[in-house]
Amino acid sequence: MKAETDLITDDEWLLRLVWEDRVTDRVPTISPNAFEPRKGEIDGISFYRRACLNDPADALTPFAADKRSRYAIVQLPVSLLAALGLSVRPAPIAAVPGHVVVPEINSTDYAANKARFTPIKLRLAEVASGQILHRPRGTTSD
Amino acid sequence: MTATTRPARGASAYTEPDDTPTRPLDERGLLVSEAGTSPARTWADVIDELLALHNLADDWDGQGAEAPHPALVHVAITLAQSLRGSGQPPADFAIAGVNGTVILEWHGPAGYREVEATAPDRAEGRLVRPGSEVAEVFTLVRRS
Repeated sequence: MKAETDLITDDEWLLRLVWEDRVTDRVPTISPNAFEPRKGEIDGISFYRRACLNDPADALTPFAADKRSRYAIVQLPVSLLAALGLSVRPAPIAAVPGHVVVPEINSTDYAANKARFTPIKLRLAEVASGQILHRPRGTTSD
Repeated sequence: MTATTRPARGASAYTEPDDTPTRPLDERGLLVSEAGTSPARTWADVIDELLALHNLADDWDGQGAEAPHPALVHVAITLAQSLRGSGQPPADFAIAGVNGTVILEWHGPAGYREVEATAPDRAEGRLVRPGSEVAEVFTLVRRS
């Protein structure tokens, strides 16, 4: 376990919560639009540092019970983001330790030029498709 | 990474706007047919998923996602029906974007394509060919 104040290192994994309709039992498994920033994500899309959690499912703690079961959890290596020219910045929240954002994938830049982010979303989804830690209830496991 | 603009073909109810290379969309065209898809998936599945988007309310994901506007769902359904009619394969994903749009995705050997309904008469398309780090852009405008 790491403290969220510890430096983020390239050998770490980041967790991303993926809504159920962006996960399938087919190939491709994860939709690139699992990485679309919301309008409010001006500081970048959210991830959680796996090293800061006892269990990846802890990342679902902030959600109401009826929403929790509808999320998948995927993981991506920090090194992948670095290879794509993306950075990871701590953005602590009270509910879950290890919350971080990827500032380059922010809502302002995304809205201005979605095409620029399409290959990035695609690559993140390709890797995430092989790194599913938890599936939404109602879908089959790998 | 940069974006380029290219024609989109295959959606007979839609055409390109005047600010991109203009020609009627070809029924035999290749908006998606190179992409391939899961054989088990049908257009009926896609249209059912699109219809279900009408049931979404704001904050449907618990993280503040916007419900899609009914007019954008209609755009996506019309596009899906048009593509089905021209023999194109069904979309691999038919989903609400987190900002109120509606998105169709195709994944296959010819690359990744997404079409996003963003206005009642318009959809934006993006194509990433295999191995490319650039998305090609196209716009579909509904014929009046």
